[in-house]
Amino acid sequence: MYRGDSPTGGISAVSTQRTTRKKATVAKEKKLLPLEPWVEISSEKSDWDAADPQLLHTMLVQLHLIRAFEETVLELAGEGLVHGPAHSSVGQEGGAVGSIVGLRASDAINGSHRGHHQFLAKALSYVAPEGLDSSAPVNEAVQTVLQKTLAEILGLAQGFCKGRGGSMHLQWHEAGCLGTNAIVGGGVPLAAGNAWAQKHSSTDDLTVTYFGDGAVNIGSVLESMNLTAAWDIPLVFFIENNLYAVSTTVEEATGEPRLSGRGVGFGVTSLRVDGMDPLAVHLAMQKAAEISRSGAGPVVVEAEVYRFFHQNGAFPGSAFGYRTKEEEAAWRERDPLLRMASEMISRGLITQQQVDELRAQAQTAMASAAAELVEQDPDGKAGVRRIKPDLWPSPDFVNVGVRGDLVELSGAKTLEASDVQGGTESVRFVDAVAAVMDRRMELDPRIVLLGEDIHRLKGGTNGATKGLVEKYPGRVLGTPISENAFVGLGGGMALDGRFRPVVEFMYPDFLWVAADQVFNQIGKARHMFGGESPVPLVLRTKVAMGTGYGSQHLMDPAGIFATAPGWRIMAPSTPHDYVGMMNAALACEDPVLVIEHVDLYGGKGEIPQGDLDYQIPFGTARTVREGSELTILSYLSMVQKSLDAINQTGADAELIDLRFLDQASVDWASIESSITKTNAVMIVEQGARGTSYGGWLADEIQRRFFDHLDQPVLRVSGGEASPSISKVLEAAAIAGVDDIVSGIEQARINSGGAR
Amino acid sequence: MASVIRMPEVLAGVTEAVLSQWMMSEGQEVSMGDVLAEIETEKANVDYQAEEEGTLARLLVSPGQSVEVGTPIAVFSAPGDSADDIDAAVATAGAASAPADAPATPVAIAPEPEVSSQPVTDSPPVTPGGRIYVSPLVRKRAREEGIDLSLVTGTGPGGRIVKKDLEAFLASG
Repeated sequence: MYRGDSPTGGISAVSTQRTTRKKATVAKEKKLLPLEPWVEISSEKSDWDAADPQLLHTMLVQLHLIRAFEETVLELAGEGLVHGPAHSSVGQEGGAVGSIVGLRASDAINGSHRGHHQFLAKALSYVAPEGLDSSAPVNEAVQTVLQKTLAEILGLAQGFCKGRGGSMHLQWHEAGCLGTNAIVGGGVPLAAGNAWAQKHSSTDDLTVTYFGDGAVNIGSVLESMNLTAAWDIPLVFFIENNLYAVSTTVEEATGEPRLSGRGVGFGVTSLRVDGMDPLAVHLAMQKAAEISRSGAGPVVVEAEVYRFFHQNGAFPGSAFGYRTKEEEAAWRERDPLLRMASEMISRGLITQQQVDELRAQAQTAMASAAAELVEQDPDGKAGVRRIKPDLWPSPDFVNVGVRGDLVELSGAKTLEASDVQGGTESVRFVDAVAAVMDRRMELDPRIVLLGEDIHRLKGGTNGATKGLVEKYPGRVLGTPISENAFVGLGGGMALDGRFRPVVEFMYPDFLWVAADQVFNQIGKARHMFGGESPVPLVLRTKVAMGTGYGSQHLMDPAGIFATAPGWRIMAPSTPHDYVGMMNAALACEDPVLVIEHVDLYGGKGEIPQGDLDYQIPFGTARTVREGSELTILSYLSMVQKSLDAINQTGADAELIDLRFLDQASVDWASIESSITKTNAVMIVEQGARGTSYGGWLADEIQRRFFDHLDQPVLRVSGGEASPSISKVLEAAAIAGVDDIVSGIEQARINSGGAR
Repeated sequence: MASVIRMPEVLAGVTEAVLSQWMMSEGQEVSMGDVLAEIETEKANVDYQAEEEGTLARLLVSPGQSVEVGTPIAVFSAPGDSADDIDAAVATAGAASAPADAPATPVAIAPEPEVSSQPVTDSPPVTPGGRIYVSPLVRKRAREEGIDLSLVTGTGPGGRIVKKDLEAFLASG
């Protein structure tokens, strides 16, 4: 029993074991209560009597299929045939089956590293919408689900994610399985995004996100509770409280071990239920669904469950010494399979013999699923099995689907500034930012903007969203300060596909705050789940070097994003290019980072009159100035500074504005033709050395063009330290025209002196 | 029927483990949940509990021995099993027929290949005055055009021969 529980089992509002300090002064106190209810739900005899027998049969069948499935996984793991961990859900099936059996096909779920049971429950409900028959539990569709899921866990090509995802990344979009997640709490913001999309697509569908007790203390979960409550998003936070995060107990990890209490602080209705009682879970979920479908927002459901084994593998936790055999034996008596069977037997709905036959049929189904995938090892001892060799994915598949193939951009109208035929108009850069977004939002109702303060201050902190909130109500969403939650929510919207989120990070350095969602989730999702799920998300941010915001606001994010191959990166330096590149970014099915620069915002440039619909040809650089002496590669505000330095030195340098910066989109053809001409190259950027962009590019250049280089690849960047607030120190930390001039002089020395 | 107990995968990715201690001995009756042995991996010591009932007929691994996951470690017999049945189970499972305390087969250690201390290089030979420094571009062109770089004066950093120097050399004919 939890600390703080009242003896009758209700949830008391305050912990009774906390001693109240004697007060020195007598102040008036008024008891405050949560905004929304916090209750425990249990099943009564009458609930079992009233339950639809078909519902009970379906639950019993699902419980047995999942149990037999998990036992098979453990057996194969014991033989060393499951590469990596297999987090067993044996013992926890009741929470999954009870909560999913009542969902619709169009409802969605996601989960954590321990997610086989939820995945199977949703998949089985999807292929058997009318329920399952305990006398004939396995039909062809059920058998296929079992085999494809097992194949995925074994890492085989026929799995749901082509073997990429394995045990911890199970996805089947069609069935509403959004994908399980190996980062604790990492899937929760994505689920919120899916639920947002459901709500705004004229449905009353909902999403359930499953996570364990270990995840209730992590930011992404708590941020998402806050955000979904603020926006009434139909997300059910389903906490599978199995009492142990690996071997750390709930009581060790938190001062409030009644984990459903997390919801109360966010104004979220919170329910607690015995997860070993599948019917009680079903009833709790019915209540949760009613609330969420009605438009009232999220609900927290905490189900107390128990994993019979250790974190992974086939040993009980007691074998590792962190819990007792007696505790495990007591929980085994509460096995949800036994509970369901005994309630049904006592009501004459099934006999023990029929239950035994059901178990045998489930085991047979799993034996035949396994027999399709493994075989006697011809080189091994008798009884030693191996994966059937021809079932592995081809090694060639390793990088397939890291990003999309850009087929969505084929046939797009493109226009370079140098090719504009008609009239042009001069606009401020920041007005071009707002104008192209306005144009796209006008034509594409899927576009939704998210970010801090973007809905106020006449277009956010820089005016980049000026006029949009008035014109597109409900589509310009000012977020709470919680980057993990709102960029992850954008990721969930993108994966759902019905919307195209454009997320703003007010400053690039906030990528570190949201790093899990940005890199582990959004950047890897397509590849990790098999290579076919598009992630059309645009992330805008502005480099602010020179504004005095100091060490934690003034990075250039290009270098860090370039390490994440799922991300595309664009860095426009003129209003014309911005319009065309944002149009390409919004058409692209990959996540795209669009980097802006505060120094550019106020500057003016020409854009075609009356045309905001063209794209810049994807993956092309722009040659700003032709020359023969030295190739300068730069981007963003450093393009103009490089031009200034060239003019100052009189060097005959060729200046290339890279524009597309990610490793897949860099314009190698332009770089090559310039370097083969000049035999010297310098990469110019503004920001601190450590996170700078040019390192990988220099490496690639020396390997690709070694025999064309007459001198080392030169780099101009900021210094070692992040830029400080002090104006003088900031200027010293970032690269400017003088540094580029020095770089050009160095290049001349390297080439044997001035010509 | 006699059944073979194999070394389990105690934790994900563990390919072998040490059977540190047998907690039961040959001939003992085993119930489900009895601790059969203590198994040690790099990460943890665990009690290995029996997952079936029977008589612990034979121990195939001696305490302290490290064995691969999946290797037979013991045989359970059922009532009526003869010694031959047990032998047959051991043989089918491919377990070592040698007694459990047989010495481990020594592992032959391949001799390390001799590594030449001479660096492999196609650079121009080192001259008494030190090596010639050449840019990659010039090195490539000199090789293609058969130019003796010891005749070219370098004006780049540290006397490196750069494109300009090569062009000047070629122009001077």
